Amino acid sequence: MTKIKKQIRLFFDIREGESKKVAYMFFLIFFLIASLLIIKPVRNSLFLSEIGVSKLPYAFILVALFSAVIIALFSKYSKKFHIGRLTRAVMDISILSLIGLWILLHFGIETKIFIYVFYVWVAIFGVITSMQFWLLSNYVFTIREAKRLFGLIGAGGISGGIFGGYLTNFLAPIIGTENLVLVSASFLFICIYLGKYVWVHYGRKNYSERISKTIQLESSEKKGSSFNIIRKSKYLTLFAGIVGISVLVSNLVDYQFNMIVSQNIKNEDELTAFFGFWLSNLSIFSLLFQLLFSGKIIKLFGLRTSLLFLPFSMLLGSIAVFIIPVLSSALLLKVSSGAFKQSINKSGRELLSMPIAADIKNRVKAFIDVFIANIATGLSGILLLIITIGFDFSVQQIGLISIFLVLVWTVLIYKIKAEYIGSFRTAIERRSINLDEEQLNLTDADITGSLLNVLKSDNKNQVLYVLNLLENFKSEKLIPHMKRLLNHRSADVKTAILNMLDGFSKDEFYAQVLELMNDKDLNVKINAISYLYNNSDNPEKLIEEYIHSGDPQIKIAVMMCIANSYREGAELWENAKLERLFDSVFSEESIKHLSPDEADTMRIYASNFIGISSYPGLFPYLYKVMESDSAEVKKSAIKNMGETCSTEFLSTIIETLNDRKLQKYSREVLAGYCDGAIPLLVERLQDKNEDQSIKNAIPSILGRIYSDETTHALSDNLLTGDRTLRFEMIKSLNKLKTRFPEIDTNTANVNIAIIEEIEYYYNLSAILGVEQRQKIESDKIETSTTSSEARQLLVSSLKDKVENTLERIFRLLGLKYSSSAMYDTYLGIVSNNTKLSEDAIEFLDNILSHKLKQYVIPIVETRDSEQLLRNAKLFFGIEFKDEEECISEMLNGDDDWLKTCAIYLASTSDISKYEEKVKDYLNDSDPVLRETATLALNN
Amino acid sequence: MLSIIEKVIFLQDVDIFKHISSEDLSYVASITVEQNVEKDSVIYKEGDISDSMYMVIEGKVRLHVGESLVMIAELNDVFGAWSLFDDEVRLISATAFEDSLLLKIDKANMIELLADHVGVTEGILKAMAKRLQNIARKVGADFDKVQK
Repeated sequence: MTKIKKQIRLFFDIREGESKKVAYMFFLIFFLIASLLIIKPVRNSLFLSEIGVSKLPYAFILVALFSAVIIALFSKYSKKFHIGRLTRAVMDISILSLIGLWILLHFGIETKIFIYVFYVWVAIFGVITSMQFWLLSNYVFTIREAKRLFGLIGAGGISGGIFGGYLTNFLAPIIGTENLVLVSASFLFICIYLGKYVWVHYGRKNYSERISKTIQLESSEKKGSSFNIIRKSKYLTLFAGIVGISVLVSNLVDYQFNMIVSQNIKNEDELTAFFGFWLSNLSIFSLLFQLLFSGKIIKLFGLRTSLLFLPFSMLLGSIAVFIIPVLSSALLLKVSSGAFKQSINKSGRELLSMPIAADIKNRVKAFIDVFIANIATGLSGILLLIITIGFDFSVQQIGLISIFLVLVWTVLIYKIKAEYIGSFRTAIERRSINLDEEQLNLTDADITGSLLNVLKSDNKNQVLYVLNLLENFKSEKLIPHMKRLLNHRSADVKTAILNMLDGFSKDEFYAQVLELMNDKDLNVKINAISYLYNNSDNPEKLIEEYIHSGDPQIKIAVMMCIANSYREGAELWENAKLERLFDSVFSEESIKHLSPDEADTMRIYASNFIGISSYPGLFPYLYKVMESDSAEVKKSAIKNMGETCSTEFLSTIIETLNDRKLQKYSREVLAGYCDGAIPLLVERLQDKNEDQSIKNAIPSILGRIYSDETTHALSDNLLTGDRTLRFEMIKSLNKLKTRFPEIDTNTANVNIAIIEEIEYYYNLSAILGVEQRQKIESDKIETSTTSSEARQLLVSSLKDKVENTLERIFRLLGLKYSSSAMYDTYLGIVSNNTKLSEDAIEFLDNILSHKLKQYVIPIVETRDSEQLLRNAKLFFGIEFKDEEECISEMLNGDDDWLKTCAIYLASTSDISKYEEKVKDYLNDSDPVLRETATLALNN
Repeated sequence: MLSIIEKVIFLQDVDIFKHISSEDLSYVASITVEQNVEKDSVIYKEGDISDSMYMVIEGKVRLHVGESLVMIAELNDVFGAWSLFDDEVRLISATAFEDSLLLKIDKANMIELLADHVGVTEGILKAMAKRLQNIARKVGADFDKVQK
């Protein structure tokens, strides 16, 4: 079972810890769509049997009107409630509505008005539940997860549709149409459970964070309405036109289909079963077509053809209905159009949206999909009313209108094609395609044509950008461009091309790459020799030829190539040979004729050689170069120790964490260490005898490694160590929480730390109050500048510390709630803007637990120092102190800087009171404290 | 010779360091070096490599281009600060106007400090931003005057 699970995870690229939420979301959309696909046939059959197809246009108009109003109201008011509560409310209302419907049907008391209401309700239910589901998904998945998993989740919806439709077809004749409503409601009951679980376990955590992002998005939306953006862009206008006309024709087709079906099937249950069966078939056909043909068609014929599939299928279907208006023709029309709409046409529309800049796309796509589609639905209703009631059109004649509209649609497709290429070119020029967010579809010939054209540009950055886009594009068309770009003046471009040559014929490029061995740039040489080595008939001979070159750059390039092939397991390089070659190029003897700088460069590449090859026989060299005087050589050694992934270097690297010149590199290497760095780092963090500066550096490394082990190590040790170390741990946990909101921290420790920090805040504020009063008094009588300056320094340091403590409190709150929301709240609290500050307090009041609120709200609300002192006594029993007590408290505290300032202040008056304590600091590891203590006692 | 804490007290009043916490200033203080200069001695001259900035603790320093006076740097004034941010040579000369005591910060040490202490970097950026705002305001006001 575990093996099967693992296979499934691998196949769908589900990562560790994601299986459960993927499963829940998959089944949530499965049951939602299944439920919808049960009530849709029920609605259609009820409408046709009770009201009749001739009244369908009214239903279209009502759907358009009510959808627009209700969806707008829903969007507006949905922001006031969290999505968890909203999903539950919609489910509850839907279940109640379905039960109400069942009662009406069961007791035969349904009226015509009620059936209209039901028709509109189902349409709105479909839109709102789908909107809600994808909104919830945004809280549950990160953007990267979404890119990977939404395809699979979407498949849950398709499967649900197939299941729901077939179930309807199977059950309708057995239990009757009315009882299917209860089946649909029961599926929604399952959705309530699934939705609640997903919200509580995965969605709630991200809520506050995403809400603040939504607010930012909204404020940017005010800069221009979606309608204006569409109106001003010819491309977007055509896009909206295509969507609108496709909805219009679809509704006409729907009407024709319903008309023919209602003429052929009269029984309500049979109608329900019929609709259920064909809706499922349509889904299956759509799925198969998408999997088997869509990609190939787009690749072979391009965007235009893919967009023409839907209108042409409608054209053929309409012609068939026009010639033979029977059920089979109607089915051909409905199934082909429905299936193409969900498959190839959808892919085509995705391609169309590609050149639209990401920020504009976010704003206009929803507008087009919801509002333009609704307007088109309303128009289709009006049109149908005019032609059926006003002109008494038959089903065939309606087909003629469809045929005419399809022609208009085709014209729009032809027009947008020209605009599309232009827009895409502009997007490339502006580099507005976000490579992190988009997966570029290179199946369309026009896109690749535009991209290849950019390769002719003189702009190096643009060429590199396009080469990045074309990274996996292996086509003959690229060869002439690559040949030309191998002679580009930019080394970066040449390197990029050399890295793309795999998969192309050796005959095309070998001779040209050979010439690049004379290039000025070392990187180009390294990549060139690598290509030659991999494509040579006699690689050993090739290496022999170049290794004895007089050019040190060529020697380095060859050695890097050897290191790579050794790492990949090439049999050519036995250990003894490798060591011999290494010595011949990098030994101190071999580089003694070089200048000191050149020799250091060779040492750096020697380290790189060991890092790449990871050959343990050469590891002693890395220890040796750590003794070098050059920081660059040491940095390279540290980096390459990391490359080897050998745990034997860990202690050596950790020791460099207290070296100011190396610590930045050591941190990076330790954070990226393959495996095994965490246990030793945690051990050193917990070691009481460890050097404090090394200890302080460890949390930031752990904060860059996402694992349960690091999170636990940081939050479990939160209450140990001094305040500097604690601050480092909190910052690292904040970083982890921001990147991975799902992390579990030790809540008990976080709670204790928050209360401890609040107590410390009150303590500092009490001392600050005393020193501020003392300063006012002293300034009146004292003449000593030194004493006044010393007190001023202490006061400003205490103010800094109070502010830092407040920041720590909010960072800790960020571990319990959303990090970014808490950070924004902190900025609001410390800002001078009263409105922002009040909003921040209000937010805290709503989000904090009762207990935390009691402690946190008073410190952010209180500006009056007397009130602060009263609160200090009330909450923590902190008594009012005199200055002597304050100085003693600081001298006994754990803050070295406050100790220093306190000693300095004491030294300006009477140090004898504190002499014993100050003596303790004469040999302190902190140089400033040590120096100040020495000066104080000597004076 | 000044202790670190005395240097911190001095640095608190230097414009460019005003937005840095006193504790972070102790790191800045630890890389400063006192330099006594006699009257008329040249601290640096035009075309020299920019490798350090200075602050006046006592005395006065004349900043000039050739013989034209640009300004006199006095107590708490900073000069040569741009050396921290670009690699251009000195555009003006600095000569002691009277016997003076200066605090000197080497560019290389300062860059390392900025890399290690984000609080110092943030404070200096804030000070630079304020300076630019003031310049922009002044230019705006001058422009208005010219237009009128």
